[in-house]
This record gives sequence, C-alpha cells and structure tokens, in this order.
Amino acid sequence: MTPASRPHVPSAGVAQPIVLRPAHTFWTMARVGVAMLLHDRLKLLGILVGVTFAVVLSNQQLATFGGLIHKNIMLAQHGGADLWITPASTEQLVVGDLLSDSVMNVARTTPGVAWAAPLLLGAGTIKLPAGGSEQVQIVGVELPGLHGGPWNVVKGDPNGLAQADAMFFEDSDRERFGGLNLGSVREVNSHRVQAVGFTLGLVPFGPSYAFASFDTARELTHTDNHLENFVLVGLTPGTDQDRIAAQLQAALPEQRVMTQAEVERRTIRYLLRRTPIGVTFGTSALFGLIVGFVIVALTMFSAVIDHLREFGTLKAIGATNGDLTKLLVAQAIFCAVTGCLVGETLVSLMIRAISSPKLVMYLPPALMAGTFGVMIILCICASGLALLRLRKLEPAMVFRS
Amino acid sequence: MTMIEVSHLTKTYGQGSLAVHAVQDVTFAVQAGEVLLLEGPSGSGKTTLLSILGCVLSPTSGSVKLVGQELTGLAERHLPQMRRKYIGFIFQSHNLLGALSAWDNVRLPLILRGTPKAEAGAQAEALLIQVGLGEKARRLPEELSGGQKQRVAIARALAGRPPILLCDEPTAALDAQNGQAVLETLTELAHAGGHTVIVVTHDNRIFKYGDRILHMEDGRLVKEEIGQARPPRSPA
Repeated sequence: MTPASRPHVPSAGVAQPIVLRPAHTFWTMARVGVAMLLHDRLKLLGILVGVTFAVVLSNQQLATFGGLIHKNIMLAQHGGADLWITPASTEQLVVGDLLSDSVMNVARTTPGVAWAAPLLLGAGTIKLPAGGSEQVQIVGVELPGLHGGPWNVVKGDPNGLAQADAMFFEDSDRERFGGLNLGSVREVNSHRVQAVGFTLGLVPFGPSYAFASFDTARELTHTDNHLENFVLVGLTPGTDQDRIAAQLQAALPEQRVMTQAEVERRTIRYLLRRTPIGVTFGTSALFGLIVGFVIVALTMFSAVIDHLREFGTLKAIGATNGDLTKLLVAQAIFCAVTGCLVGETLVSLMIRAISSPKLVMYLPPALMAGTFGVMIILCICASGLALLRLRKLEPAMVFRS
Repeated sequence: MTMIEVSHLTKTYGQGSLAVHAVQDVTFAVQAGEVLLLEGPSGSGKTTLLSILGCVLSPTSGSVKLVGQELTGLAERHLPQMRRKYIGFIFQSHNLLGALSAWDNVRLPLILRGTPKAEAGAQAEALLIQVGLGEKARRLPEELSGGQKQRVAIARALAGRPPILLCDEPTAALDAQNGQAVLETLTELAHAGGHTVIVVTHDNRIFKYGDRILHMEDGRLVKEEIGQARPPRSPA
C-alpha cells in the first residue's frame, strides 16, 4: 500500500447502536446467495439439471396422464348436455347397461328441461378393402340436435348424418381404414355405410369414435328399439341445474343423474381408483421428483461444502443462522424457478412435438403452476441438508489455514 | 479505557486423558488505541485466544470482557450481535466472498448490522476510497492483487467502525512492501483512530509495530514485552 493509498483513519469511537435488522437483510442475503450460485457455474448447472430433469420427467408423465383423462372425458365435455342420465352402474361413458325411452320421456316432461336426447354407444368392426378389419366405437346421436357429437369436424357437414347409412370417421384413421375419403363406402358390423365427414383427434382410450345418426347406430349395434345408453339433458337458461338434477334423480331412482362436471369427476375417480393408470403415471412422476430432489439436495450440499470458508466468514462478520437460512432459501427458490422455466419450456416443446390425435398429451396451466409450487417446496427442502451443515459450522474455522 | 479484559481464561478441547489445553489460565487487558501483538509458535494457542476474543469460540472457563460486557456464559445466539457490534476481522487469507464485488464485500457487514442499504452503500464506497481502492470498487476479488484484497478486507473490518480489530497473520500472504503498508495502516488505525488492534503473528520482524507483545507457548502467556511503537494514547 503506497502512502497515497493508505486509508484516512476512521476513528473507532463507540460502535454504532445495533438496531433491529429490517427485512432488507433477506434481499441482501438473497442477492449474496444468488451471486454465489452464479459464480459457481458448474454447481449451478448441476442443480438446474436436477430441477429440469424432475420437471420434465414428472410433467411428461402428468401430461400423458392428462391426455388419457382428456380422452376419457371428452365425450362428456363435448356432449353439450347440462345433465347426463346414465344407468346406475355407470362409472365412465363407455358401452354398458341400457336405458329405456321412458327415462328420456320423464326428462322431457320435467319443467325446466329444454331438451332431452338419447345417445348410443357400441362396438363396431370396419371391414377393410384389402382384407382384415379395424375397430371403431360407434356413437349414435339424435338429429337434428346432434347432442353428443360430432365435434372437431375437419371434413363434411354433420347434418349429412341425416342421410341413410352415413357416418363420420376419425381423420387420423383414414389410412388405417384403407384410404377412407368422403364418399368411401365400407362395411361396419356387416352393414354398408358411407363416409360423409371426418373428425380429428376423437380417439378415446380405445378405438376412435365413429358417429352415426341414432337410427343408423341402432341398426349397426343391433340395439333394440326404445333403448339407449345415456340420455343427455339440456336445461332452459336460468334454470337451477342442481335442483333439476335432484328432481330427476328423485323421479328416476334406478338411474344416475349427473351434471357434466360430476361425470368428469366420476370418470377421473374411476380411472385413478379402479385402474393402474393413476399408480403407474403417479409413480413415474413421483420418481422424477424424488430423483430431482436428491440431485438438488446433494449438489446444494456439495456447493456449501466447497464454500464452507465463505460461509464461516459470513458467520464471523455477524451473519446468524437465520441469515444463512435466508441465503439458502433464496438459492433454492432461484434454482427452482430457473429450473422450472427451463423444464416447463422443454416439456411444452416436447408435447407440441410428439402430441398427435392418437397420443394426446395434456398439461393444463394449473398443473404446470402446481409443478412450479412443488419444485419450490422440494428445492427448499433439499437445501435443508446444506442448512444442517451450516448450522453446525463454527465461525472459528475461518482462522484455520 | 479498557476495551478487553481477560482473566484466567482457559480453553480445553476433549475430556479426560484426551483433553488438550489450547489456552491455559491467561490473564491480560488491552486498552483503546493499543496495538497488541500475540506471538508464539504454531500450536501455542494464539489463534484459539483470538477466536475467543472474536466471539467465535466459547471459553471453557475464566472471564472475558469486551467493552465491559462479559462474554463467558453469554448465550450463543447473542454472539453474532457482539461480533457485529464490537469486532472487525482481518484474516490471513483475506476471506473475501469471491462472488461479490469489493464494494459488496464491504457493504455486507453494514447491512448485517441493520444499516439502511443506501447508507451502507455510501459508507462502503467511502471506506474503499479510504484504502485507495475507490476505482476498483466494482471489481471481484479475483480481479484484485493480494495486497488489494487485503485492503478490501481492512475496509470490510472497518465497516461500522467497530472498536476492536482482530487480525490473524494479516501479512502472511503478502510481500514485504504490502505487508509493511498493512501494518502501518493498522498501527495508524489504533494510534490515530482509537481502534484496539490485536495482531496474531509468529513473525518477529513485525514486532516494531506493536505497543505490546505477548508471547505464548503451550497455551500460556510466557512473556510480555513493550513494543517499539509509540505507546497507546491515554484514554479520553
């Protein structure tokens, strides 16, 4: 130090009084923590890889699961009904027990009901020109209301279903069905039908939907007259949905009357509880989160060990364990937010790249936000290991060379 | 004014036959404005003693008073407050936070003391100007020379004007010229600024900077010498 650069000597005097430390210590410690992370880029990369891996794996699994759920509830979502009347045994909207027309008549005569329409579901086998066959799921809807579909129409006019033996097929299955085009004729359940339109993406968990008029569907599925699988009910505007549902349920004690939301909830509950889908995807998502948690915890711990002397110095100059907690929590939040942004961007791109009418991946914003929250909590928990080490750190270590 | 009063201080690590007495029955006092050198070979207990005076290590027995406040028996949670209030540290290897600029390193202890951000920033800048590093305030430690880092460390130690400066081999990592400048600065801080400065060393070439030299061996004070520096000022 040259004489010129030697300090002007500040006097010691009495130390400034200690005041209660305001909240800005949080932001200062947060800034120190983030600066330490950015300075140690290799460790930061390790932590971000952990978070990103956890986000991508769990969100990819959840998106696939969401897609499956979406496939199973799309009929309810697009049916256009306020209420669904189903057989009491119905857990999801698939082929099952039948209802008689009397159920529909009860609905139609109930005050507040604007319309009631039957819906028929049935298995269909489509014979291919080159031999062999493929499966479809026939959906019979009443004209002209067309309650229950078709939707996502990419070719043709749904009113064309009024023609005799007319059907709408899934556009993504056209090649599979032997190069099906508008006007193509095929045999479905040994009955000659003509393609009058196409929908896109209406592939539930199983064969794709093929729409027909109610009468055509009844013929194709050999269903007796005056029977249907479900009755869709539309209410007059301003009617209390729950009151009419309760009224119908009282009038039809052997059937189940549900709102659209209830149908969706019941379907999801069924899939989660009665099928291995929930466990399979849930386990994979959890596995992703656990692996990410372990990577983040170990890397943060390792980063703390690498900078033990600096943390010791912080303690020596007056930082408390609380201050160091703020620092680590800020680091955890920074890693979680950055890793989530990277991970969720990757997942969104991945979903866009690999989603197809057959493989629907659906990640609603709420689920993405949920993952964000979970990752922040996980990262804060992961920093706990490092914090335990820091709490035991004696500032006297800074005097050891 | 007596700033530090140590009485029959003992620090023991371990128990029974494995016990190691790092500091044994040490008694001395240091006045405001005094430069005290603690000298001794490695393992003589001088760094342990410095750690206790710095409130980063608790003594096993005896009494330590900093500015009249007894440390022995003080709950551990109060020690950081004591450090913030009374003590500035200068370490052998400067111990600056590598991720923070010189300015941030000096500002940090002020923020920890509760100084408002703007005021802390201004004080940090003033301290860096005082140690001749005003133009390098935004540099990271890795962009500074060894001598410059130690000057930043001095500025950090002075942040908040603590009455006591504890220095652990502050010249060990410096060349002779920078080492001499640092010691002259510390002496000046004591004699002109009223800081109490305690320097741990095993380098007898720096004895001329001390007002008093305490020699330690095996945890005990074995000799006390008057140094060549001018005597401490009378307490005001």
